[in-house]
Amino acid sequence: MLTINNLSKTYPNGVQALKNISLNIPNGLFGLLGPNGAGKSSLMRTIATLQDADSGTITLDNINVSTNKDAMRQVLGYLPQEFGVYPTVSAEELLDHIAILKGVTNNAQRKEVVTTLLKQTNLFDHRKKSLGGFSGGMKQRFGIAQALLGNPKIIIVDEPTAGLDPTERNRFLNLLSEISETVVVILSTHIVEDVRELCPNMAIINKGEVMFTGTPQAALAKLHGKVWKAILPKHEAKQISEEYKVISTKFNTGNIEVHILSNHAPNNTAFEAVEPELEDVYFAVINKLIVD
Amino acid sequence: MVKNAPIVSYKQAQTPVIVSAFITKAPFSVYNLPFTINSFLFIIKTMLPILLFELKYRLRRPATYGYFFILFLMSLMFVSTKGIQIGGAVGQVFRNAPFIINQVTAVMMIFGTLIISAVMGVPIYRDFEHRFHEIMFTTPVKKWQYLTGRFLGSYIICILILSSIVWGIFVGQFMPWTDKEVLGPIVPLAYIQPIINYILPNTLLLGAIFFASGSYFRSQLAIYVQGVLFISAYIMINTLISDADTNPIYTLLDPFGLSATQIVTKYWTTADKNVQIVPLQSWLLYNRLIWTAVGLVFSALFFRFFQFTKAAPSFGKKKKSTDLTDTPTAALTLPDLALPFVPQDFSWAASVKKWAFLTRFHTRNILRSVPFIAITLCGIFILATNSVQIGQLGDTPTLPLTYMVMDVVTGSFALFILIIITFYVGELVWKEREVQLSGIIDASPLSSTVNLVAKFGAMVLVEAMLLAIIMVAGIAIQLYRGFADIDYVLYLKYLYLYTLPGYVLLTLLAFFVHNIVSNKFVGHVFMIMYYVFNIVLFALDINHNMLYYGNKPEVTYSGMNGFGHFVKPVLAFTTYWGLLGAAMFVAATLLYQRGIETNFTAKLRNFGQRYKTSAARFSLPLLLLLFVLCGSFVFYNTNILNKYRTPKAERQLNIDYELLYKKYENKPQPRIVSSVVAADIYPDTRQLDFKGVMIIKNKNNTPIDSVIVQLPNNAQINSLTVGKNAKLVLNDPNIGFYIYQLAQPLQPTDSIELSYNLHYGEKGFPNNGGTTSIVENGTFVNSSLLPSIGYSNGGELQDPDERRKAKLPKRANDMPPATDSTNLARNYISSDSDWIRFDATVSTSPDQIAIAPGYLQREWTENGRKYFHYKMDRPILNFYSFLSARYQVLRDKWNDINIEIYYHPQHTYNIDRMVAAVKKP
Repeated sequence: MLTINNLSKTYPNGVQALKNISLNIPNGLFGLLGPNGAGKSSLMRTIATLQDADSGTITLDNINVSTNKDAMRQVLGYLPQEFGVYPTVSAEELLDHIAILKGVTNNAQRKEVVTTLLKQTNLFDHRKKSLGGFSGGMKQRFGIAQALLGNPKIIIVDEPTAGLDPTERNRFLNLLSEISETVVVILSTHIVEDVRELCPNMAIINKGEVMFTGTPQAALAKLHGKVWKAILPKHEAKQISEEYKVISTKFNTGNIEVHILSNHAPNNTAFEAVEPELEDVYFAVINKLIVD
Repeated sequence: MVKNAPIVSYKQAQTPVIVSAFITKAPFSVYNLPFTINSFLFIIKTMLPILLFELKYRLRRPATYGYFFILFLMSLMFVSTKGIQIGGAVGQVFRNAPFIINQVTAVMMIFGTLIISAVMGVPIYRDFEHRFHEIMFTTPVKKWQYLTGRFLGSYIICILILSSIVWGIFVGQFMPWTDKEVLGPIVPLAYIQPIINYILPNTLLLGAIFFASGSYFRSQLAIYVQGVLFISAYIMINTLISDADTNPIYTLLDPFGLSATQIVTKYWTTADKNVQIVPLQSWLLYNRLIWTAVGLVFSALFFRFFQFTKAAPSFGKKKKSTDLTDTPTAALTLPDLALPFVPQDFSWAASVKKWAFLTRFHTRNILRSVPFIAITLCGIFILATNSVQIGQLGDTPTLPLTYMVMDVVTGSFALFILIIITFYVGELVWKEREVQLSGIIDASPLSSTVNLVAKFGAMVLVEAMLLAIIMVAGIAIQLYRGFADIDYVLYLKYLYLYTLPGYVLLTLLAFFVHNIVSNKFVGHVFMIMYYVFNIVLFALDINHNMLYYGNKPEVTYSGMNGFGHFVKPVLAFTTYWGLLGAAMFVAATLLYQRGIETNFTAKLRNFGQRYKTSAARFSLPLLLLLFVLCGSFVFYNTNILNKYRTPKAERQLNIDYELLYKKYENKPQPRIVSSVVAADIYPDTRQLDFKGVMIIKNKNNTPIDSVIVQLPNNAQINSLTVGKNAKLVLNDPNIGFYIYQLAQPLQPTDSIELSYNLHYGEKGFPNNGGTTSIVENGTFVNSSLLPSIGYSNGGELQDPDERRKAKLPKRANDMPPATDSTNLARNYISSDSDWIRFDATVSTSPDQIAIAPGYLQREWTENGRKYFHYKMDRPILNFYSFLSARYQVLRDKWNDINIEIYYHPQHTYNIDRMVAAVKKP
């Protein structure tokens, strides 16, 4: 169980990245949804001991993260949103290197775990190749492999599925949900689908604030019976935004598909009631159409 | 009409059928184009954008300005200070004389080679490096347009950069600190002619070579190394053929035109050099024409045969694979999802293992990196170049003994190790952040201390390996010279106990600096500022080793005495700085920043937090306390036990001597006619006692009422008496100048005794490590430690510039005129005596032999010391020495004359030849 209490952080340039964030994150996959620049990465870096908050506390079981960073690092698996590698070092070498850093000092055991992880991330065939030649997806898989190293009790993965093809993405998410039974896994993403499919718990944050926290089902229940959809020509769609709370608009075969939030049936008969999708919740929350 | 001209020319260029048929065969050749004015314009027009692009690119690069600034500063410093010498002594010639400007430009162009290589080697390589060539080569740009544009663009930039040499000289004249006395009138043309003589043709030739090789090999390594390789080959060949012949035809072989310049200006007088411009004539002209032609032909051939599509040659090791085919993920098979459990260890022992592993990892990364290999290769080239001068003491060939070779090889390589340390500490500290791996590493349970210590360990390991290379190079040089008596232990001692600690100290400082600053560039700037600061301090006459981080006395090694008494001061200074270095390193581990914030406030916050909780709260104050204690010990030795004077204070003594006592120069004084000395040498404690009596005689026509006695100012005078009841009327122990007023004037031809009891001894160690005259094995002192009579102009300040600064009159350079009676009365060695009778009794340790001039009268042992009594059978000049060491003696005879050679038992090299030479009639 990871507990975050009243966490705030303002950068020297005046940007308030985290505003009084409090979250309880149990074992299992926890989806952290939010648009770019919402503060997801700031929050995750703070949990991962890479930056200090101005105020507030983070505790993992009995570990106070801000005062006992070393203890936190011993049980942490972290995949940053952006990371690089030594271009001239091979995948196996670097993974071996990181395994050492994570305290796996027994040579045979290290070799075994490195091999297993390379196989699980489908990099085994390329283990001798320089990381400089890896494609985006391969590099991302390497990042995942290193995050899983060393029996982590908490895994923080920041936008892990970016750059993965659909098969890889599935495989990775399966892997995550499998191991998340006994550990805390925080997964940040702006892809709503990732969360819907896998996460028992989730939070939506925007501009440094928690907009929603709970289960996806609870989120969906909030909008039950309130989401209406219409497919309209362009010129009509423009007007709708003045009359209704528009959740989202997107192109659909030349016309525009509009989702609106409404407690009762809209006057415009083009609208029909639909079951809310998590995406609707997401847009509704970050556009502050509903309040948690 | 004018408007249409380019279009017409464009068509013309394409029209001729035969030509286009030819073009099909060799589509890119510029040499097949019909050469009309119009097609020339066409060439310019199409090539110009590429040329301009190259110019713009270069003008945006900071390196361009860096190169300019370095050369500019060098020639500016040359004109404005005495510190930098370029191309031999200047003497009476003005520092801004046309001849000198020409000379400096010609010599600086040798260094310019490196810049030409760096600028001209990359234009094509760069496109491959950035993978831009695929775009470039699919545009309709023709090969010759591309190559010519890039070449000319870089050439123009090179000329602009290299013109900084003359700019530096020009601007240097106006610096406030410039000595206007050494400057002549400004001759404007003198700043332009060298550009024509050297900068334009050399850059064309070298540019053509480096442009071609850089484009052909397309490797960073080649670009780094080719310039240094060229220079060291040039210097080596030059040294080897320099005495071959003086036929001017050979000067044509010199691609830099230096020897041709020498021939042209061979008979120039000082006046010529001050006003005449070195003309592009005769041999210099032929030389320049030949090499320009070589450059042009070379680039023409290269342009003709260069192919876009051809891969660069690779040497053994395969290139990094850039087109890896990813294995498709098997969609259907469900992978084994169980994460492997693996035991982790965070104990002390595990930290040590981590440290060892990381040290190896970082070491390997450095050793494999291209700049490291390139810098090391450059160092080896320079070392090989310098090795030519080994075994040459003036014009006398010497054996390549280990101590001489190790000095040259270490010195040659020093700059390169300095560059490697400066560069790679920055790499080590910032690498993870630079490649964006820091997010992962910083969040791992790796302690900051282990991490930094491992990086430090890697750096030290690399330094040790470089020193091993130096040692191998030195041994190779010795063996190549056919000298197999190699002192391996000496190599190890000098390299690993004397040299390495200095590099380690620098490494500690660099780690500290890079952990204070918030990015690598600033760190490098700080390090360079530190080097500059050291030079400035030195220029300001501050030379105390306690003020220069990492400094220690220079050691003098001798085969007989080893490192002798230098060991102690070196150890003391190394410990002193080592403690500070260690303290700085501890501070670095406290400042070390993990995560994304790299600003100084965050680092200070770290420092505060970690200091309270880590072991550093004990170690840091302890190290600083020990540093202060050790510093006190050093200070006690250098400044309290010994007298420390800055170079300026030393000079002031010479100035005072002249100002105060010059008036006594022509005062009639008695002359020494006899000297009887008892010298007691104590080699193991480095003490020396002199007791003796000199007889001084008035050889003048007038009586003498007072006697001037001089002694070195480090003599401890137990007693000094002149005649009977003479009164000490002037006592200046600081300079060592004493005047005794005699009770009765000394009448012409009368003599009196001057008796003395002196002590010289070493106490602790001085700042410079000490003198080498009284040592444990191999003491060699001479009569300058004994009293001398009268003022001697040898004690005056000699350097003309220093004299001018001190407002002292110019000293006569020439021999005194033949009518100068004072000087006629002097022999070449001493001004206070003619021929003297000499008798010496020298004592020393029982295992040593003491030597003084004269025939050995008696040799005996007394009170556990060995005594030798020497006496000359006829008068000698007033200059004699006392020696003591554990000599081996070879005795031989020629007719009835004894031959004795006293030598160091290990140095048996030429003894038989010496004996044979002595015996030769």
